[in-house]
Amino acid sequence: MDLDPRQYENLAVNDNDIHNIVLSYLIHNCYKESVESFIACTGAKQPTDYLEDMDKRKRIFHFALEGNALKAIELTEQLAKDILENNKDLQFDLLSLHFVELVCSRKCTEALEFAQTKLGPFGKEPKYMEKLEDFMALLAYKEPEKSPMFHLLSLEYRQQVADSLNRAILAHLNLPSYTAMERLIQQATVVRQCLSQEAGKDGPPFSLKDFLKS
Amino acid sequence: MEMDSLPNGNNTAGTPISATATATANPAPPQSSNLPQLTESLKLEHQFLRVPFEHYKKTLRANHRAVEKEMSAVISGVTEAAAADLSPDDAVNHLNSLVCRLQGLKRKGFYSFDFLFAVLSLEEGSRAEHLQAQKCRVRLDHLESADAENMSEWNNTRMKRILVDYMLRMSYYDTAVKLAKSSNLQDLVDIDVFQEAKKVIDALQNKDVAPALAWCADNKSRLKKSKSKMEFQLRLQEFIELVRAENNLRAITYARKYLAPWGATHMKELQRVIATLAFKRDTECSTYKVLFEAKQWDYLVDQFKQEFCKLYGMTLEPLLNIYLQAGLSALKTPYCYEDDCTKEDPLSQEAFRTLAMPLPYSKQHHSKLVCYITKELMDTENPPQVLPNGYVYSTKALEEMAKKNNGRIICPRTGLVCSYTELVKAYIS
Repeated sequence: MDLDPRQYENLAVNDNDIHNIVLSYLIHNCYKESVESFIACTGAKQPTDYLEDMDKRKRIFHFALEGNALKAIELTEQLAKDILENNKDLQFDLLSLHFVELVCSRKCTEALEFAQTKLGPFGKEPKYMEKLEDFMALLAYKEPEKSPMFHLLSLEYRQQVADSLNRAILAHLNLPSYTAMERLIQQATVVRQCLSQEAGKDGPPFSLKDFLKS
Repeated sequence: MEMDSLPNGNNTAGTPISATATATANPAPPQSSNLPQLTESLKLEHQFLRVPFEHYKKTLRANHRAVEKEMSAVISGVTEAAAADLSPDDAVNHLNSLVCRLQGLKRKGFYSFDFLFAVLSLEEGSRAEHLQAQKCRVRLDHLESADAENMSEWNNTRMKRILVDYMLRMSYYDTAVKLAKSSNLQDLVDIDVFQEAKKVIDALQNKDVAPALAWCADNKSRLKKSKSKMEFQLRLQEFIELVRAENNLRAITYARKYLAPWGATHMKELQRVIATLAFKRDTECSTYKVLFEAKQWDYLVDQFKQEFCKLYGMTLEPLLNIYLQAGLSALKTPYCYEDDCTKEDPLSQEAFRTLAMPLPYSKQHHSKLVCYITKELMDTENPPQVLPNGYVYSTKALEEMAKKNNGRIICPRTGLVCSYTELVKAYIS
């Protein structure tokens, strides 16, 4: 007989699998102390190779998150030369983070010089050109925080760039660039959506948030 | 012999009856026909009345602002005097100067440079009002004066007005002035209005936006109502010139003051221009390189001309073009573009063909055939007749030929000889 995924109450879950999933999440996000504490409590296997570069990754991530893009770039290049060389999109995003930082600090002259020397060369490609126009327009406003492009100055935007950088570093280290947690959630969501379609339900589409509340 | 088909291709000419023929057919139209004729004319002549009226309104608004400004100055002067501890003599002098200002009079010892300028400005404004009101009146009189007796003269005057209009739009100001003067047309043409435009256009051609910006400020409410972005375009160009000069900090200050307010409605254009700061003037990136080209100033001139004509209620095309195209649209047929188009047809000339290119072909309800021999129309009174060789000529021409040649017909195109009795009458559909 076919297994009905909705009868998950009958499915046995291995504790080790759960531990690995949680561990994967903590490692991905550089929660080093939490990792050590978790391992001590659960008696899980020590993943020595994971911890080596976590400190470096953590520092890079935080520099990017707080907008210190130049420092993040410097440390990333120390880790490995070709991470950014092979990823122009990420390179542009990091450089633009620095530009935004200069604009917010009201350093127009520096921002201008930086734009001409570092961002200008990207302008030959259409996909960067449009982004560049968005960033340059910030200069036209005395208070960029109140301009139509205010989203470029937000924590959310920096978070997005920092995440991209983190994934790139993980990929370079031959580690998973997505956590097991993410993959499981994506998989579960897609499966539930397919089941809803096949059953021809007229109800609302599957919502993880609603599911977890029920 | 019987004819299976008629080779009419060479004989079809879409030449309508000319206006002159119409006039000849009706040499003395009754007085009552004057009104419809005038009504038709006004459909193309609305700017004849509207331009001086718009000019008059503009002058009135400017004068009103000037008067308000003077009144405010005088009132605050009085308030100032009341608040200050002036000696009787000083108070008298102060009040006298205010009275002089109100009366627009100059008196020795009581005027400064600014005051003199203000007085002259008021006087000039008043005189301008009077002249423009007079011009409106002259034009109304001119339209009323059109009647059967002087229609020829009236049309001649209109022709000259149209030519002056064309010259002014093509920037041939001196020639326009001479023609207007020699024909005594000064009040019937808009030379002073175009002189105003000339100042702005000359400045733009010298890469100077100040007069254009001043013009935009003068007409701010009208331009806003029509959603004009003329001012924005001028500001963008001025910004580009700062970037070209590598005056980047001034460019940024300029953008914050003059460009940012337009961001809500024209963000894409704003962003594209601001981005030039990252590329400099010698960029090879075509998207931005074009912004630094000299022809951008030509676009500004064209844009200004359009806005200017729109504001004054003028046609965007010269009147001459409009009249010519109206005529050509009645003359245009596929035959006009063939090699054997007759020389009499205006469309045999390249200049007219160009002007007629976007126009539709004229709608001919009936064929109109012109005799190859006499050049006259062939109609029911003068029907076409077909020779045995298929060529068609008018009855009158063939009858006359038969009389001269003992009843024999000689085809002028092929030399064929036949008897008049062999001809077959053709019918025009």
